[in-house]
Amino acid sequence: MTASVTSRRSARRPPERNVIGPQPIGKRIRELRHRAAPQQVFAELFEKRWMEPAIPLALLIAVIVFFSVTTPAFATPENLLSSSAELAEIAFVCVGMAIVMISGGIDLSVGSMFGLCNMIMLLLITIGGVPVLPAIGVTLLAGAILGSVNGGIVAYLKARPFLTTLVTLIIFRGVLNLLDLNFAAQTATVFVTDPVWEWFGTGKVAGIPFSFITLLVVLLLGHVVLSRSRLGWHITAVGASRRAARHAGIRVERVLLVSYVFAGLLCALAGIFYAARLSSASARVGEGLELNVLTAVILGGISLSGGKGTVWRAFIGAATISLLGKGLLLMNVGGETLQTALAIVLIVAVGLDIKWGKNRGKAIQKVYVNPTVVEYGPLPDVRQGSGSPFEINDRLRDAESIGAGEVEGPEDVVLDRQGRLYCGTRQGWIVRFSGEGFRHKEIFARIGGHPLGLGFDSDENLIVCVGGMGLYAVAPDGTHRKLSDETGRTWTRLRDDSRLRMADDLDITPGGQIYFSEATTRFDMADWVLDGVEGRPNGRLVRYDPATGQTRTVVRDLVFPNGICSAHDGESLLIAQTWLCRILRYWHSGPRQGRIEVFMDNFPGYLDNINRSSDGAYWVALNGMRSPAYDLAMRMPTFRRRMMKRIPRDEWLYPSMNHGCVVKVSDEGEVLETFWDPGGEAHATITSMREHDGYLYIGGLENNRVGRIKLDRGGPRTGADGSARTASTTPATVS
Amino acid sequence: MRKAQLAGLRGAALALVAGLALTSCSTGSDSGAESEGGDQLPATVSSNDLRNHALDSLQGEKAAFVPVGLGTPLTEEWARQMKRGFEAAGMEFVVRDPNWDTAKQAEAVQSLINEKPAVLVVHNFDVQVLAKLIQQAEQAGIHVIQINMVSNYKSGAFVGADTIDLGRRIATDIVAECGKGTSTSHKVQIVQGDATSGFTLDVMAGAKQVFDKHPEIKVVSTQAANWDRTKAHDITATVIQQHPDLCASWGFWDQMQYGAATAIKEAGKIDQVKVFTSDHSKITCEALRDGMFFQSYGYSVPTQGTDIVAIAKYLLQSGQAPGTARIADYTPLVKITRQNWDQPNMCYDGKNDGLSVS
Repeated sequence: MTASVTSRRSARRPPERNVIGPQPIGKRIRELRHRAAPQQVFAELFEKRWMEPAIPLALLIAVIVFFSVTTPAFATPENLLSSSAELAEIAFVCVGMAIVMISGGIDLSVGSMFGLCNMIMLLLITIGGVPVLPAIGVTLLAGAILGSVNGGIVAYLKARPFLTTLVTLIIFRGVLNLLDLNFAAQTATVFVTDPVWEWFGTGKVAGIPFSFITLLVVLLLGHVVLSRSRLGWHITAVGASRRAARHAGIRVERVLLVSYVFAGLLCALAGIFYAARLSSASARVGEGLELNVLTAVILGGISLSGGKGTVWRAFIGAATISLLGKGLLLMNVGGETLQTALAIVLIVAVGLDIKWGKNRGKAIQKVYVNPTVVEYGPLPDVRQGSGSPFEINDRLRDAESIGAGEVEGPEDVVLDRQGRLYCGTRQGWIVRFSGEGFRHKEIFARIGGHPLGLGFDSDENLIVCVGGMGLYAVAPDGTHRKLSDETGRTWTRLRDDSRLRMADDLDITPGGQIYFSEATTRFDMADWVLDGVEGRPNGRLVRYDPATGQTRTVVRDLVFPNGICSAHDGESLLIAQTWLCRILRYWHSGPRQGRIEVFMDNFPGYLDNINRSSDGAYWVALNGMRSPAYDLAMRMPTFRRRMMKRIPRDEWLYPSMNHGCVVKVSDEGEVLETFWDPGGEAHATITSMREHDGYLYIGGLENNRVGRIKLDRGGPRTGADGSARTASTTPATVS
Repeated sequence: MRKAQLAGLRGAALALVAGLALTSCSTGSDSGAESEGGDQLPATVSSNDLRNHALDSLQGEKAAFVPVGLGTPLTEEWARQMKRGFEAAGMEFVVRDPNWDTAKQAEAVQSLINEKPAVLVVHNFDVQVLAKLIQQAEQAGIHVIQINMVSNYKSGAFVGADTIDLGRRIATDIVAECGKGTSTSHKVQIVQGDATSGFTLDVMAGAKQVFDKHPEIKVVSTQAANWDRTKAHDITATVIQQHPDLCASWGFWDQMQYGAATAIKEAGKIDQVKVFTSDHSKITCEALRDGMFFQSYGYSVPTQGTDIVAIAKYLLQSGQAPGTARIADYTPLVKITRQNWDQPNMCYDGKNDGLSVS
């Protein structure tokens, strides 16, 4: 049964799947086709948070492409550069509006503030004779004051933002009209020739308008403030739920005030650049701007209900609106048509965005599980009288039960030097049984997650793989600490797999290194069986070095590595792969370091944990049995895909997980004996077994007890409990 | 090695100098020809050569028009005349419509500067907004012609009403109706366009010259309705309440002033308040017929478009560099009253050709 496979690529990667006999080219192509996973890329891509503005961005790109193709004057450097200056002004206002909308409000007065600041700036430097830089300072201050009027009324007088800013829109516009009537004519004939002013209007940095450079700086700052600062988080929190924010101790009023002040400041900045570019002290400036800005911001995907959005989205929206307007202008399309086009684009975008937002999750779910080809050898016969080494017997029928009904889901069991029994439970506890007949039960530690693999290190610390949490250590006094919950990220994968999702089983080498398996990086504890439907190499072997505290991925792309066992030679590990029904051997040290071989394959069932026996052999748990139907389904990924699409999840064909056994195999890969519970009454699904003092202790992920049987042969009193101390060809005696 | 490099450099430098000398010579001769302006053809040139020159200098060139907004009889009539004139001359004619948005107008002009048409006709929102851009356009080699509303930056040519004189004339008419010798309140309301529009500034300047000499005229309200009929209506409705004895309402554009006239009519004062305005689109003649307006001044809008085409043809054929001339073509002013409105071609409708006679 032993097959040696020299693995490809520096022996780091295992043979990915079972290779059954010589492969014809057609079969090979089919396999390759199913190995490629465009669906998976799609699902993982669209799961990304930064894909949320995909639709607005696509629209922006569509606008750019459309006009580049249809309008020759559009994609010229001159046009793009002059457009960028115009875009900068509206984008400032959009960012201001976005901040207010993220805080849960709305600011309709942006157009009036923009126009008023433009007027103030021009009045200051023409009639006022104020030098340019102080005038800019005063204008920014004026913008901040205008914003604080809005913010003050909304935050402290608790007025509705819509009505408040609608009123201030009219008031600010009225002030602007007054200024226009009384002073504008006098500004009209004054030319300001200050070089700073010229720079603001037409200055370029490396050929790019100064206003656009400023916009980029503002966007970066805005991004950092919104996504990385306390203030930004507070703004988002207030927008998402004002009540919750208040309960969390956020000073809601102040946050609201600040967001409106930001809007005012940004309008002032836009007004300053507009003034510098066009020097137009007209009451018309900024009229109706609020509608364009609102369109842009919603187009960018900033939610009207608050708490959602980034400055980049505001920028995307602003760029779309601005370039759309510019493109239509270049196509000599009239102004009314432009308004209509904007309205249509907005409706389409909002519609798509809603559809997208609603159905993204569903789409991801639909394509997330992505089956591939898994081949098996001929199914070994396990029937009684078949003469196969796996022949069913009833040796587990008389197993004593420990803590029956008192534990839920003891995936793994382990015993300490004093012969006390430990197992993990579904509730996230480590339960300890001790005393006469293990009748004394106590909760040894409460870690959380679902404790799976267990093992003792040389200092009697219980090392635990906790599904959903990572690798933990429990000291003899019951206190626990985290050893590791992340490893290196696989940079070739879109999905960030650095967090440990499902640490499954562990063993400790004689050198004290903790090797543990992460069964799958794509599915959570509750969905682990979906990984079986998929059958892809999503798991990995990870090493934790207690000396340095470092965690490293040793072997990646393993199909569901489950049981880990340090072999008797002390230089290699046995890795039981559930869905492939085989055991790999990986040399972590010694002359064959880094090599991976198939140790045994074609088991009649799905493998779980693997442990050393006291006599130089290994115990292997089978948590479920293969069936011809499911073997066939695993060969047909398209069938499984269709199944997942067509019928509800509870009617899918799953690997059968309701019957298993314990298999003892020799160091040479021969099946020595098996232990079955034919009725499956006490030990249907077996996920682990541990030999201790002439007894075999049996755990099961779905069980409500730990089983124990006396082994016939009076083996030496050993502590073959999987700890490092005994991981040698001559088992050490413990007690 | 180093020597060889030096030699190479020297060679390159020589070639460069020679090249520069050549180009400077050629540009020198070019600019010489331009400054003389249109004198390339001798007087004895054959008719055929003249024709070829005239056609060649226009054929395939592009003219662009940026009004403040289409959709008014005034701008539509200009666009119509220009389209006909330019296209007949084998030129391409485009209109970029900013739809009454200052920023959009600046964008439109900016984009045209990038595209470099031969002729750019602008209708300035205000005296500042396009000033820098017109300068840039002329530097970029575009002939810029301003229409009716002038910018602070005076380009090669201006076509439009003599707005200072227009202001003077209307103010004088108002003095005649509401001044010393009359038994009125002497109260006058002024409804401006945009306060910073070249039209408003010039008309106001003309009006000031007259009203300064007639201190009895009380200008009770000067407000900007920004060429908007509704605004003019709302402003006037308030003014007429405050000053029920108003003598005259003067609005700077017929389209806008019609709103003021309506407000006055609603107040029941249309027989007492004399409504003055300028421009002569169809609405003027109708309003005069209906007794809404008292009088208006037309400024020969239908010929303005053709004048622009003629000036553009001159500029292009003369080979003059953009911005080297400063000419103004003031179109004839025609007083239209309740008595003469029904004479032929007093008002234009933006569809039929028609010329007013002075």
